[in-house]
Amino acid sequence: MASVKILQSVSALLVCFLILALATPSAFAALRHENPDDARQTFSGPSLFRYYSDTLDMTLKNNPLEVEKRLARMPFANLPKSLEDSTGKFAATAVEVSYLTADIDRNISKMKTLLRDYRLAEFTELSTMIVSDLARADVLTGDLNKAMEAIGKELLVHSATSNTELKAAFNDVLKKIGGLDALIVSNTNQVSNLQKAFETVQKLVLSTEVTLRIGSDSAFVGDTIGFEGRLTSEGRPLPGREVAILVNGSPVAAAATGEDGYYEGSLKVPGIYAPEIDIQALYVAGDSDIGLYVSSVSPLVRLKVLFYNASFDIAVTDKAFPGLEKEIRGRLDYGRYPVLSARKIRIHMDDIVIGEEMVEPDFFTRITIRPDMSLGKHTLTLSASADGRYSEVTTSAVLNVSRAVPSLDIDLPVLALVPGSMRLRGKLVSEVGPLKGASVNVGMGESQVLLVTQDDGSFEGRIGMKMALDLIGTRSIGIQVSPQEPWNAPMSTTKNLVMVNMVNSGIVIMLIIVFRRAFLPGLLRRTLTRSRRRSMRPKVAVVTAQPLPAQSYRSGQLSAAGDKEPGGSTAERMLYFYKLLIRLIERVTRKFMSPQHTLREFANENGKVLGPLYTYFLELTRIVEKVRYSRYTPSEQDVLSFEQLSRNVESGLESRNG
Amino acid sequence: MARILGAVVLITLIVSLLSIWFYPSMQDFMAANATWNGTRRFSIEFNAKIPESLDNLPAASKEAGQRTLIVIPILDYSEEELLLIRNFVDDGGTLLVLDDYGKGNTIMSYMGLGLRFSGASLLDPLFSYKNQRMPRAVDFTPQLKESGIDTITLNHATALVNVGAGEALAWSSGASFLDGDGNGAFGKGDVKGPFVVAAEIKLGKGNVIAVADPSIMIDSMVGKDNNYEFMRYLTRRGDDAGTILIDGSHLPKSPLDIAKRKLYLAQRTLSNPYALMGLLSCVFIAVYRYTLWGGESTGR
Repeated sequence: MASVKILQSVSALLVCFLILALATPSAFAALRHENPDDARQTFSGPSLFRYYSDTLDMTLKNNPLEVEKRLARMPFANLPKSLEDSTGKFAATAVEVSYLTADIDRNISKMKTLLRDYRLAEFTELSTMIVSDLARADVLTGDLNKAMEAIGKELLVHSATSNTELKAAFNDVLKKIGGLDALIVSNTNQVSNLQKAFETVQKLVLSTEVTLRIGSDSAFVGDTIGFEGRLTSEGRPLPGREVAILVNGSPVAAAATGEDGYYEGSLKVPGIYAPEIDIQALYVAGDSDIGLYVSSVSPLVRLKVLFYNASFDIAVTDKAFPGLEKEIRGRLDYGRYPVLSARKIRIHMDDIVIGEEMVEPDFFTRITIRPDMSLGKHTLTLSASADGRYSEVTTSAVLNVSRAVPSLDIDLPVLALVPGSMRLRGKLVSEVGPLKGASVNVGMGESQVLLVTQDDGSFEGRIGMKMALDLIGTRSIGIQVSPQEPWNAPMSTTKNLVMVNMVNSGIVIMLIIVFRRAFLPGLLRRTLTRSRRRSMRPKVAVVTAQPLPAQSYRSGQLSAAGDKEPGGSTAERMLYFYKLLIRLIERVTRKFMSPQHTLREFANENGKVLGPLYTYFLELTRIVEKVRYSRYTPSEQDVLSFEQLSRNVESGLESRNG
Repeated sequence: MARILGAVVLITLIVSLLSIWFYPSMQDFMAANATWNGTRRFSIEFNAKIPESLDNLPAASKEAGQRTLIVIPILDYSEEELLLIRNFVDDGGTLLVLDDYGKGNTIMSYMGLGLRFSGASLLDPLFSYKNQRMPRAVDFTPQLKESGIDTITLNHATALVNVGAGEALAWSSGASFLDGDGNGAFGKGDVKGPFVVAAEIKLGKGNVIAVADPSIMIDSMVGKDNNYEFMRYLTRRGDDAGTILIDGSHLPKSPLDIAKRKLYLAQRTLSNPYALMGLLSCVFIAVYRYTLWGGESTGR
């Protein structure tokens, strides 16, 4: 019963505790975050449309790079899956149209310049291209509208009332697309006006023609070549005009026409290390020619450019360490070309110039890796700049900047005794060399010692071993290495060794001795007593009546108690024998008769223990009840029979107890 | 009766202690908390230590490699603690302040930095994870981009203001806004993005990094988008041997956390060999006497 109550109390306390523990967080939690897995999924159509609207503003401001950047983030937008296609189309179209409108705008400005300079042939060519671009831009704005319609349909814009934020934002995007349409129309009108102006100019002014010949089909970079040609207008020479010589579209020389319209001169082949360059002569009508003559450009003449190539190879191991020098061996191989005795090279590390020097074809140089250089892969680039007929040549290699991992060689004893101290001796070496002046922090439980390595990486010291709970077993030693050099990495390792704690072992041995001497005997005694009691329980169910032993238990008890057999009435003698029997039963069964017990109750309670003897004892109890509670007076014969019966019960009990 | 009462008290005490020891913390940012709002995964994967006091921050002379102290300043810092942090940074350490609505500005002010945590909610209805309260940062410095970071997800974040040129590391999108009026919708009083959500400032030999959301490191967030790589970049910079410390002393604790801490301290105190030896002796004597008394009583 008591154990049930304990169990109930403990269960109640446990439940209370768990409720408290579970309830606690909600009481202290602030709204700093929410569980992302349980967070409510929401989509915002208005924010998407506002973002589109701002992006189209960038298109109208001719900022295609920003448009591309903004729309490149769309994969990270929180949008329904069903919108993926249409938003993807919108993004691709918007980027294309933004680049196209920017190009159109730039080319219209160019058209104006060409018209102003009466460069009608180029004007015509550009005009054709712009018209095509405008047509494409018109198609793209149509696609933008379609994509928006699809997005609007998906987000149920059309079923929204006119004054909602969604509808307003959607209409704003359509308005911006409309603005884009208007821009295209405006540009188309501008182009149209320019074309009209072109036609007018073409009617008013006279056409011109310029020719060009060059002195050689091929030349080395830096060589000088001659050029000549003639400027005419409808067959008549145009004297005293300046003709510009363009190389790949850029003016590099100029010459004035003579009386017969001829011009001549020379030009230095620029440092363009390409197989061919395009050369043209350009006449731009200026000053007094404006309004009289059209500008003209000669047909394109190609010059084969000659220059020397070299191959550039470097040999460098990919591993580099911060703060250490790195050796580079290189070779500039000119092959069949003349060899340059010295050449300037530039050394770049991730696009940052870290060195510049003059080198021979076979060279050896060193670079220092910055001590604070971030670990990881870096690109080392060496470039030999162009030098006269020699073109620029570059080569690169990947350097993996890392820190060397130290290797620890430490001598530890096989067995350590606590308390005491232990000698530590070892050496720290990395692939770069020994670790000089490195801090070696050795810790074992609460004990710690800081050692410093010598120039050869060796260290030596002692660590005191403080008391701990261990008896005998392995103990971990933590070793942390902090190198001084930036090229060595810190290291942390753990070693195990067998440890014997002499104090704890002594205490345990003492406790075992105390236990054996003091506790164990008591424990054994109690165990034996309990087992004896168990053996006294009524296992033996059948007890046969035995003849009265010579030295009866009763006589023993009488002598021990100092009682004597009364010599009173028969009733008193009978009660005396009964009382003796009750004492004997009490001792055997360890159930004592309380004042509240009746004789019959006592007899019944001991019935199981008495077994077959119970019948005799019950008979004796009945006789005693008769004597005590009635007028019945027993005879001498009755007393003798009573005594004999009680002796039988006694002897039965004694034989069972051994 | 006294013996029953004693047994109940003893069993309750043991069960309570075991429950405190083994029942997981549910408190925000706690390393002992393995649920969504804890930092257990982060602490394990980043091999972070959680000091309960700032008194013993590692000094540069004792530990090589990068040393990063992560603080989530929900509770106030004392002058002494701020001085310890300042010394840590001056000495070459990296201070990573993760804050949204806390006391991050106290630290910035003490450090003499102009950068501040806005304190207003940063919402992004378009570039977000599930809803606008979990905005995504989508723009980063070239170094972060080269480290493979395209986007990070925040959770009930704020923004950084007064960020100097060249100090910003990450920005929210142009669709984000600071919800100044707190109504959860973009209105007239709200400022439109992009906003800086992470910045780094050189200070002394070390540097201070501010991130406008501490929730980026809770277990349910650290795996979202490139949050893991972002935290790795901020704390490691390629140095895997560095030390990462999470200041546990300025995080609010529930009674369970306090009990756990006290139990841990008690366990540490008792793990002193002499204290434990004394305790074991007391227990041994008590058990011995009780057993002896019990044996005598049954023997009577």
